[in-house]
Amino acid sequence: MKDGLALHLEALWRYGLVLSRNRDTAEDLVQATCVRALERAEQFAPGTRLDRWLFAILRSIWLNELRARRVRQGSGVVDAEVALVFEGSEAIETNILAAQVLSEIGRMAEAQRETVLLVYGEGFSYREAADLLGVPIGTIMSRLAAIREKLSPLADMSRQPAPRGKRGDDV
Amino acid sequence: MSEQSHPDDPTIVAYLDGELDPAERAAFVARLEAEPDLLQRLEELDRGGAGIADAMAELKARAPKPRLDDILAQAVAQHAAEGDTVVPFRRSPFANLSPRQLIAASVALFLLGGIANDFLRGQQAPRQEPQRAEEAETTRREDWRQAVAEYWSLTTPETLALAPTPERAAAELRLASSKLGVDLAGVPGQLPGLSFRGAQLFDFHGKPLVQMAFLDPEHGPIAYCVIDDPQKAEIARTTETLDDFTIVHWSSGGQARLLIGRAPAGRLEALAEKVAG
Repeated sequence: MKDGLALHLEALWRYGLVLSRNRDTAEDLVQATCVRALERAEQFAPGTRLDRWLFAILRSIWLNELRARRVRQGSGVVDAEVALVFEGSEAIETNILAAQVLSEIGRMAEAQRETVLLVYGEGFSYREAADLLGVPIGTIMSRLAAIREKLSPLADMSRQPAPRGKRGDDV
Repeated sequence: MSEQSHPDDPTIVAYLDGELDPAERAAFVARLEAEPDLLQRLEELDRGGAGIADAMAELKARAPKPRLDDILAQAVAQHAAEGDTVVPFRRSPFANLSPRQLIAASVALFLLGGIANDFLRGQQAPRQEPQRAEEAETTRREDWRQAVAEYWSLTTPETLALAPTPERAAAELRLASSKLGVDLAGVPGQLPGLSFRGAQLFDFHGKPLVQMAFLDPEHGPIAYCVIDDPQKAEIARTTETLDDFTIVHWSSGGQARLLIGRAPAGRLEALAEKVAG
């Protein structure tokens, strides 16, 4: 289990970051996932994909942790969703389009963020993504269509040199 | 950015992602040749997908590998040192919880296992202010739904992947029915479209609580819960949302009941109708 975990740490971190949009929380999620996977190693079915199993663990921890935070806020109201930018994206100077795409994804709803990560980041089939998220395949398809629609203007813009100051609008 | 989505969007995306089967694909390609609008929309959505894989790769490349290796090493060491119990996992990621969060966590753990609960109560849980009896009763009436929601949030379709054998299912329902004094054997048959995944018996503040787990092919895990209600309150069917769950609850005849899931209110209300009727 330890060796298997080592192979998937970066993928787990990325999933945690996409869900939480916070680096500290992403690391906490990786840590909690490692501990739980070690504890439950005997529940992993050999011959199935370890990364899928680990993702399901991380997701259930995230949902539980999210709920705990709402309790602390005392109201059950979702965090004010200001336009969040991935903390890492500012540093990606080598690929402006990638930074813009990440920034745009960072502003999407959680369900869209994790769907785009699973299918286009991790290569989940629609069926696998639907199973993990507990939604019908049709929902995966509509989410991906909405995501592509939102991102399509970025690809158009990136063909023309964009003034650098423009990225300030995203903050 | 158009306000209204193209009705063919899901098919277009499935085509672009190679998710159509050969027959669907052939039909779609034939349409593309005949429908310029469809082709134009396809090109638009194709552009929208262009930068995603690179962006995701960039993000992964920024993972703090040495820190993550340390995190894994610590987890391995902790696991080896503390043995195979529930407690170490709970302690570490939630070490900085506020008192309120600890109460919530202890409620959840109470349902998860007695050992963990003893740990929290014995060593970490803060003392609550004494409450007047009625306030306490109202709080408890709401708390049991909160507690179920906390616990149910851990459940995924994978949790419920395996269906119990008919013998096992019948035995679980018999045990739950006898503890609660209510015949629950017919409940799975009253909920059309749901696959029964077992009944578990819990204890909530000294009252028996039965949770029947179901898998809805469309909306994932759904639970039907019944708890003993010594106050014999009569509460009409009420729909509420708790975090991202929908809950339909009602009380009558000495039991409080609820249906919970990440499903539209209409779906759960229809199920409640079946099981309450």
